[in-house]
Amino acid sequence: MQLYEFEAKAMLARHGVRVPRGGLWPQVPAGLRYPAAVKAQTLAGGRGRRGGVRQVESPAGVGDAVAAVQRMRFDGEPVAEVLVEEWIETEREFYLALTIDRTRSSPLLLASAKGGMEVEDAGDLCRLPIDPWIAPRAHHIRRLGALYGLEAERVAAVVEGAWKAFCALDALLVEINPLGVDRGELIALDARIFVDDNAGYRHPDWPAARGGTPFERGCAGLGATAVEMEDGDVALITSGAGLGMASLDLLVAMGGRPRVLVDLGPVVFQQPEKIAQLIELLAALRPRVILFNFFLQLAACDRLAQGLSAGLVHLPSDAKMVVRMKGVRSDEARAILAPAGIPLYDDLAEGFRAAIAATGA
Amino acid sequence: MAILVDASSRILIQGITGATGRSFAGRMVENRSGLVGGVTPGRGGQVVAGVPVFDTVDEAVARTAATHSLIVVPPAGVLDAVMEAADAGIRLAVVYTEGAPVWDTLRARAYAHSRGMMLCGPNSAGIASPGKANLSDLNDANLAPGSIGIVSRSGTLTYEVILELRRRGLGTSTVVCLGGDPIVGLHYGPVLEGFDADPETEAVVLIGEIGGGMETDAVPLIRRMRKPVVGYIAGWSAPPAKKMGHAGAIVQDRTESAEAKTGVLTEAGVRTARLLLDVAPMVEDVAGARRRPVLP
Repeated sequence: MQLYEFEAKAMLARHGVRVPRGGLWPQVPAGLRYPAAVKAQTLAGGRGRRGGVRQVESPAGVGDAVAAVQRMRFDGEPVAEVLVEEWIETEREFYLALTIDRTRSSPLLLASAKGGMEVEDAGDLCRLPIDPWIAPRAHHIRRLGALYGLEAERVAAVVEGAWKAFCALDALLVEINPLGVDRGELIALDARIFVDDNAGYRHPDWPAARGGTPFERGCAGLGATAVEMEDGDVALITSGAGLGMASLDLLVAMGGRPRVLVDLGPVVFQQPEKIAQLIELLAALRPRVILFNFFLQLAACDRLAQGLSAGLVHLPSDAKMVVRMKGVRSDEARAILAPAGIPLYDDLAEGFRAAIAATGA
Repeated sequence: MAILVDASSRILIQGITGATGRSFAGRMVENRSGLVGGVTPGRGGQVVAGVPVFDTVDEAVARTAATHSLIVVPPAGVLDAVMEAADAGIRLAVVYTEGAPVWDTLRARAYAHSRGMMLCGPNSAGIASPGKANLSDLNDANLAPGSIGIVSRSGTLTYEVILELRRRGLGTSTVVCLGGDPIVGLHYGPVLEGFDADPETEAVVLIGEIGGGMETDAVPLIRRMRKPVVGYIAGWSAPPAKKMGHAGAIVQDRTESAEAKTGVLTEAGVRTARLLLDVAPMVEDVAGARRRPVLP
């Protein structure tokens, strides 16, 4: 889950990183220095380029700037909040990020002296693997000091604070860009934080899941992961991300056009009645074909088939259901679905061919 | 001979008294899969599927000489369970649990490594050497011993590959599921090395997917392998994942696509399949006359 800029800055401030003084409209702090920045709080990138950040010279101009920003949309989403903070011009703009290097399975500190836009192309990018049990060490801080041309002590507070936030928040990314120098002190002018949804159980203060389409959020509530795609007519439901992607590849290779891919988590297998709720959600997408693909190792196919059968009442009249299900008690499962005229395929290729044929019918 | 798990493996289940633990225990005992005991704090003295339950891994190891552990505790308990297993001298832990926080996995991995314990997973469907030991959720009825080694990031996708191989009279020496999480313990390297050195394995299937660089990272080792490798990367048609800031673009670059990974694997000498259903025919081509009979 991605945090908004104001949330990210609050977290960083809590851990000792200096951020500009400010507040969410209308709670502008008394005595705020001007000029001020009026900033759209959105999860989309590139907001500055698109007019989502405005400079206001005096308190009189804030209201209009806020109203203008509130009317904006970024990537189709309305602006969640508006942040009003002191506008800080800095001599230097750096880049600092803490992320996770998947290939090395290690936290990674990234830094550049050329912050702002297009950091990917900065020739001086520094990458330092950091042990997950141990914070950045003195030699890491010295490296950064040399990179930024600042004394190590100045750099230490920001790096240590960012690291503390990184750990405490179960963050996957803490990115400060630009990291500015204001009267000799480092200050986070903008910040982006992504946190690990799997850690939600130990962060009761986190907001409910963010982002995604209404359908995707509905699936998350059932214990499934969904990805909507545009312009398709086949809803593909399977179990396991790898099989889901392989099924998608197969469907597309056969000429099918996927509308959504749904990956059922273990919860759905424990409570097959959730499948009926899933079909109800799917109906709103108006697919022509709903294709289920399961190869069950341990769970019984007939229990799952009962869940499918219960969901048939939600199936739109112009939609067809095709089921490929292999595993224990698949004959019983076939018998459950037969009265509704839904064939149960044992063979993967055959089931997918049937689904493609059903789109044309 | 198989790799990582075999008939000599003495296996514990951490979390044995939960529903998942009991299910695994029952099957493993029924199929004589080397289960010697289980651990659930506070339930020491109980018996599950005929094996003793202990309060601690230390005690379990002392009493059963266990070497392997299958961890099926809830997500919040994974880090502690891994650390406890490592402290008790377990050689290889397979974490079946899905949903462990990434930071817990990062720490578990580093801790296990420092104590010399191999960690497979989390979110791993497991490891199975058919006919010898099954620390996976693969149904024994679907497994057949043979000469094909399989290493995969995905469990459910692997079920299909095993099925397709069986249809062609090809069995499995060992199947290793590395786990679907973005951060996992065991990577491809040690598994591929194991297969290359295993007299029972004549060819290897490498199954990967988009995201991360684990497959690309294995390329130098693949080049040194003597045995043929058939590879498939899932996700050619997957919609692009949302990048996490500039760091996301820096760390997650163009090399993570199915097309890019397939390209580097092909260059390294891997016979690459474009679709799941192309894998088994390719394996059939490279597998020699040393096929084992398939169990009915």
